[in-house]
Amino acid sequence: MTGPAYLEHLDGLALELRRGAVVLAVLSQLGEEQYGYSLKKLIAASGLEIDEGTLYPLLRRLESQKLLTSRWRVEDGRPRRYYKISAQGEKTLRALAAEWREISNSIARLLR
Amino acid sequence: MTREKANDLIERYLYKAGEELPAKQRDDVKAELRSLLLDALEDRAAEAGRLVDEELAVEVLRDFGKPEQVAERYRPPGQYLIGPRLFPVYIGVAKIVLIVLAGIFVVSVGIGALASPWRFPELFRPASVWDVIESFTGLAFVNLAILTIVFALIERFADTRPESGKVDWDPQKLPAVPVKADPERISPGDRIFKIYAIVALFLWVNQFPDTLGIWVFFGDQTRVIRFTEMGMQLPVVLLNIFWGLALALNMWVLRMGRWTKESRWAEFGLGLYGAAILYLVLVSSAFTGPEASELAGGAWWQWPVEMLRVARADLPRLGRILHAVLTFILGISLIEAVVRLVRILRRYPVW
Repeated sequence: MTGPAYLEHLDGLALELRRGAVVLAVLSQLGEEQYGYSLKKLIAASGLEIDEGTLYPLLRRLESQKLLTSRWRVEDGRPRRYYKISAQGEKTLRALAAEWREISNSIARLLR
Repeated sequence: MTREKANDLIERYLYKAGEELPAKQRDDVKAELRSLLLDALEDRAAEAGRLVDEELAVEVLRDFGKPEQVAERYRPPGQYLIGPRLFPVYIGVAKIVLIVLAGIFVVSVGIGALASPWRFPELFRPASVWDVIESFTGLAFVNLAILTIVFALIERFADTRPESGKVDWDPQKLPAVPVKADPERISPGDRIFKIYAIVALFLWVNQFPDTLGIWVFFGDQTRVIRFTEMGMQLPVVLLNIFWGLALALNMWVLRMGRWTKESRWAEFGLGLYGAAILYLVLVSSAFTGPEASELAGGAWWQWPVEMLRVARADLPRLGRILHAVLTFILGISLIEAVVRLVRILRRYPVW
């Protein structure tokens, strides 16, 4: 496989690899209330770019799983939906973070 | 190149995305998307050191992705026989089908009861009631199975899911938000119900020709008065061509999401073809028997009862009634064709 087809395939694999990590990144940054765009910038500042099309629906999904709570707030004359991690979300974050460290260590050993 | 134009583009984008979102969360998701798009737009304008304009809005919308794709991401993930986009329509159509079937059964049982020489207690013997329930359940299952297959095929082949991955598209080509409802916009449920009806009729005529007729329940007996017994000739090949064309037309309109000039003309032509088939049936069939009004001494509401009395003794006599019904349907078809023609010429003038 070469050329654009290969790049597309690689993109798909990379996307799969990042999918789980994105949930962890989002949960980790919602100790304080954030709205979608501010959260995207906050995560991007640490070097992880998340596509809008992935991040915003994910927030909704995590909320429906009771891992986040949300409310509408008007700021600078504009209504925005703010998200914050829930108690259940914090518990999940601790478990996922431990899992992540374990995977990360194992992969590091495998790649050595 | 003003903020108004940028806002207009965003509203068109939200309108398009909203059409694809589940009704329950539509307004809420649209409100959130609006705030996110405006945040991104202002941020981009600040980075570029200029005021918000249409060009920046185009960039932001391109990054967000096609509205259909964005809406798709707000749906639960997974693989489906019938996806979340079609599922509410499927449930709606299934309900209509069951209500229509139940209606037909109630009428059939009613006619059977009126025509039966039995009295009240015999009519409602457990065996009779059970027979009706069994027949209804069987027919309901068959119809739901056909409906499910039709929906699964639409899900598979009508390509109702937007493309995945980054797609190059032009936000400036988004249609304007309509000021009033678009009269040519279709209801997917309506189209799918028609597709289902076409498939069900096709299967009925081709697979179960012996059951083609009027179904009547006499207490614990079920009787089919076949159309052929009434002297009617069915041009099955012509009917199959008609259903094939009707199926193609409905799939096309479903895929387009609205009627167009071409599909309206196709609908008109198909209507005429259908009327021609009906005319052919009327002239080629040897309907025999007395006039309908002679059967029951003139009172039309007694015809169904009389039909059944006649049905037991002398089936071909029903031909006259069938002839009258088919002539009436032909008349309605021709009036409908004229109405369609007027509508096409008013909406899409040819001169």
